[in-house]
Amino acid sequence: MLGTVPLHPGTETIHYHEPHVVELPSGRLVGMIRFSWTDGDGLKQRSMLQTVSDDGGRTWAPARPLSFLGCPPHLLRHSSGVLVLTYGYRLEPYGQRVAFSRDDGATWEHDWVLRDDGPDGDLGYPATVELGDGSLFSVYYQKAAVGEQCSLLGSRWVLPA
Amino acid sequence: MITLTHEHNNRQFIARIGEPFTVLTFDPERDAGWCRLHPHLERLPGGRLILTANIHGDIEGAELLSYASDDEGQTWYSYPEWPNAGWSYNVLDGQRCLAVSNGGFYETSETGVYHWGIRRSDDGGLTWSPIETVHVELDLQMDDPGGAEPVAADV
Repeated sequence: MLGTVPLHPGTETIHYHEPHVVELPSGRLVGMIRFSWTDGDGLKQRSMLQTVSDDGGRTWAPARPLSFLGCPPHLLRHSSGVLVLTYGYRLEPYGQRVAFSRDDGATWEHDWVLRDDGPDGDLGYPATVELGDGSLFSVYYQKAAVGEQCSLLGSRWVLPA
Repeated sequence: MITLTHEHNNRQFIARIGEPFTVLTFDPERDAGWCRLHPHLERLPGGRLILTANIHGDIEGAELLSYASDDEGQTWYSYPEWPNAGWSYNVLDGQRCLAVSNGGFYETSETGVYHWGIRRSDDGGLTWSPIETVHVELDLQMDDPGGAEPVAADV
């Protein structure tokens, strides 16, 4: 094993799932981890934790929670330098969302909505690529209509100014 | 391409962007009982988009399918010869690509011990090396299992 991520205080390994990592030009690795837990009211909550490594993944900063809900994460570094974080949103209005960081993950502009027309919370797992013209293409799963099984849906979009 | 609609939802600023569309839709006659989950998407150095997904299951019992697009996602075709269906993959730089299997497909007879498969391409994803396995031990006692998602980075 190359390295481990120190847990955020008060959390357990059982809460951590499905990480994704992107490498910055500096060599820093920015990692995002799905974070799921059951709150005091018995409700399942889903968000994300962020960590970084400056030595190729041998040591990691303690996982820190993001201030917004949604998961699991997919990270992409756009050619403009903006970090793009796409994630499923399993709360009403159900759908797919995006967060941007223009400072290599220090802060995030979150809850930009790719779509919010999901019939229920069985959705997510977005994956995003940058196309040749700099626009973005995201694919994820979601039910296209009530009563259907899940389909693969997508969004074409560009970075907001 | 960009549509911005600003509104306040419980005092939260919401902005909508982009144009949603269907890539592969559910067909009641063809796909009865199926679902399509967990897509992976990558743009290879030559511009080809590769989309893989689980169908007919989550992790256990899932069938893996691959699709490709040579027109930036406008049209898709089945790509059964893609060797890394259901894997995570990364374009490292230039022509080098790395594909990593989902750990669930290489579980050994020992509880909690898995092998991840790794394949490497040095020609932009046209050809791939044989599968090499990496031994890992995982705590998969998760409260919300969705599959271990290995991630490759150029370190």
